[in-house]
Amino acid sequence: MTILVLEQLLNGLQLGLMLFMLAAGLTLIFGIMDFVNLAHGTLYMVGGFMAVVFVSLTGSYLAALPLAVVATAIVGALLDRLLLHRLYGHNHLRQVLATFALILIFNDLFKFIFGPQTLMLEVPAALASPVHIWGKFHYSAYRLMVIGVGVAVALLLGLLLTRTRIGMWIRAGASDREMARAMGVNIERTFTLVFALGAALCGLAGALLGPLLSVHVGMGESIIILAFVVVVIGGSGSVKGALLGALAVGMLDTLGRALLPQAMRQLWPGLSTDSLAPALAAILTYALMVAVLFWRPQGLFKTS
Amino acid sequence: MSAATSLEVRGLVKRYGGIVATDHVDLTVNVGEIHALIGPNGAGKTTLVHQLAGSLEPDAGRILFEGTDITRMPQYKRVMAGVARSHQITSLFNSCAALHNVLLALLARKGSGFRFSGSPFNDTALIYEGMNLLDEIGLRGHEGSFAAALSHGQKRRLELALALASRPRLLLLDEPLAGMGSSDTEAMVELISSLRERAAVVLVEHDMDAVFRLADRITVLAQGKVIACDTPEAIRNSATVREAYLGEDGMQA
Amino acid sequence: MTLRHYFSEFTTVQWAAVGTVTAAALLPLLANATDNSFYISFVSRVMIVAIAVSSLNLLVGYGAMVSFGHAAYFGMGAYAVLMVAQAAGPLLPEWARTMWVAWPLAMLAAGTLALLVGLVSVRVEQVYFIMITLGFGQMVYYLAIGLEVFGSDNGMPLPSRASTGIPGFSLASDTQLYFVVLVLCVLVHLGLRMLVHSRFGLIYRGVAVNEERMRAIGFPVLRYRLAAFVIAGAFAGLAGALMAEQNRYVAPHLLEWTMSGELLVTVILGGAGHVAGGIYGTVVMLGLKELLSAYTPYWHAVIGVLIIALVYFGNNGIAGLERQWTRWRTEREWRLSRNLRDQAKTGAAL
Repeated sequence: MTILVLEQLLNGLQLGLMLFMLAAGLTLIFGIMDFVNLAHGTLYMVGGFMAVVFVSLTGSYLAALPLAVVATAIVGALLDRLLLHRLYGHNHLRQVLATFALILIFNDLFKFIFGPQTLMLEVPAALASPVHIWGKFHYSAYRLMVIGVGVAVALLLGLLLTRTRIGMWIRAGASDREMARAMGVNIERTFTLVFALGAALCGLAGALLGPLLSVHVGMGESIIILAFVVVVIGGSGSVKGALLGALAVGMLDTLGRALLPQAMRQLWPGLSTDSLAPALAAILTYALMVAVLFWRPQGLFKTS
Repeated sequence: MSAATSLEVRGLVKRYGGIVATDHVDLTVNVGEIHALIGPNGAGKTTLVHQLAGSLEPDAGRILFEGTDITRMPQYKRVMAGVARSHQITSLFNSCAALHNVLLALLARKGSGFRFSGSPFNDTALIYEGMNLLDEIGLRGHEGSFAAALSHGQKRRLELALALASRPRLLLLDEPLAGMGSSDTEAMVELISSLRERAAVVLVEHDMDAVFRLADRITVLAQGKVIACDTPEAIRNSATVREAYLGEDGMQA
Repeated sequence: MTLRHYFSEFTTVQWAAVGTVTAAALLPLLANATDNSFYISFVSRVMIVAIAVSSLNLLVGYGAMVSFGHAAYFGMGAYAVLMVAQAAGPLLPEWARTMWVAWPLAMLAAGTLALLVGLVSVRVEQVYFIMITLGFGQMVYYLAIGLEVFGSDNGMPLPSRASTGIPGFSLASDTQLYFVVLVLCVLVHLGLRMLVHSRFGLIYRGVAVNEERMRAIGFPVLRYRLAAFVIAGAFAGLAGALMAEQNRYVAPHLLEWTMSGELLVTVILGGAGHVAGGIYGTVVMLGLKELLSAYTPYWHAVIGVLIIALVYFGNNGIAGLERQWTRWRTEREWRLSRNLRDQAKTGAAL
């Protein structure tokens, strides 16, 4: 029993960190450019597919990973420069429509290029066997790596935002666009940078989760909404909020899915919980978002 | 000037983080009085008006209107009770005609808004009343102009009209003369003066000429506190007040 | 005003509307005669979706409330019909399955759901409103696919269409259902037109233009928003009920957020803030889908490109082209009020 709980805790941590990667980009884009990016999930999908492509080209997952990240970042930068930058700060409805359209376009585009079937991404051989943690508890080495990467990214992102000049530009852009521009910060370039950064994070998450969740068209759609929940909970523009929100949602979702069916079966033996419990677990997450929005409409850590 | 009290404010407090925007303010306004509220920038005049109107909730203290405690009453209910405000920064329905603006304001007073059939534009009595109101504030002939297309002075007048539509017994006017040219100002001052007959008026203004012409009494606010409340003459001669305005324009005796 | 006087005031657009409805009424006869009965169910579907889209138009176009979870009420209506169909007999009397009972029940269910969601949502700021409605929509979706009694992932067929309670008139025939849908579609849109020009409509639209000022004038703003949200939800529910009857199937696909997105896109495409916007948008959207899917499996992408073009170049959708005739208020309204104003000036009115 404890092993199950521990395993689910680690799974929850993993999901939380991956959600954080999506949500961090999303919250920065929302906070800095005032842009609701529904296509964020699409960038996640791009990352997954790029990983598949590069693995088949290079034969090595570890080589493919950074390539996939860079490729996704480039796609993101192009989307910003060519299409989306004109919608920043404007009518949110237009943003929602445009990014919704991007989802449709990219889905069909990828279906055209790769076909509609699910693509398998192999876990690299070195990480294929479970790692012995303690006692009888074994955990997938690959998942541990994912967690490790997630933690590293969180730390690096924090350092980037607080200790570097680029980070300062980004934060300046977040609090006062005009002021930052007046002080010589190239706003347009900062926006592209932020968007590309967000895209890179998405690509990383997509490439990392590919072996676990498989790569297919539309894989971003379920996770993007979860990422929005995290952004709402954490507060727009706050990376710290995104981290805490993501961990909370990741844990809630994973533990809910794993433990809720059991709990329900205890209370109502005989109840068919196969399909209901995951639904309830998902509902818990949205209920959390609604509760936060209701009590604190600006999120937990809204930047001014 | 009747001695009946229209508005009574007791010990009103409003804090923003570390700043005390409203510092235990006491204020009394009598029926039929024009009571001016002046003070240097940042004194907390608009914050006080917000609290009186109901768009901001005070941290402590009480607001009594005609004897009723309205401190916790939401803004829209206060309008129904007889308290109306005009805004410092013009807030109109810009994409609508002037008459349309006024009609909206009148509808608030005309029974239930939840009527799903029949257009208010077919309501003769309503249109008549709207036209009269526009007449009163001097916008005759402009009823079809979009609010956005009006001149600044006309916009300020429409702003006032929206407040008057609910036939308030207490008017909170937040810098009605802001940005007006001299002829506009003249007309506006006359208009405000005429309001004395039907409502108590709290007038926040920077235009000292107008203040001294219109006010029956003046309350001076500085740093959230009331530093003086007296007749215009007394205020004009007050050393305390002059000190508060040190460095500020406008206190010409 | 005499009827003759009334009709002489009709504008070109209104005559076009009458013409369209007449053509629609004649369609089934034509289609059946030329053995093209497919068009009957197609146009029926268009009208049903148009009701749903127009209900969203009330929110988006007239109230500036961008709801990204409207599919929830659409689906709720459909599932309500399913529930009534299953319960009629064992739990409910048989006559509950007539359209006179089942469909209002569906509207009630959808409206109640909208009330619950609205109570929480309407007080939230614009951009968060989009997300909170998205979240609620997802909740309803997950609940629907979680319940096996409604077929989980796959949904469930409807054993039979609602009875009419009128002998000789059965909805089992596509043509008969078509006429019922046509009547409802016309009534809903006439109702929408009446609503937006009514006292409620003016106040509600005023809230969208300047919410703060409406509060300062003395209106309990949230109440109006909530009322509109419930009305929109109820009519989306009616559309959902009709869809369930039309397809004789209820699937959770109706509740997906992509459906909500499509509804939103259709509103904008057709012209938000115009009474017929929902109709224009649905005709184009569903028509395009039909046409495109015959040529390429990748028609989603084509629609995506169209949406992007719309966002960047479109001003007010298709109905925007109609702008010369229609504005914030109809010409007729303005003309009438001008007569009244002239009367008022001479004091003759009172």
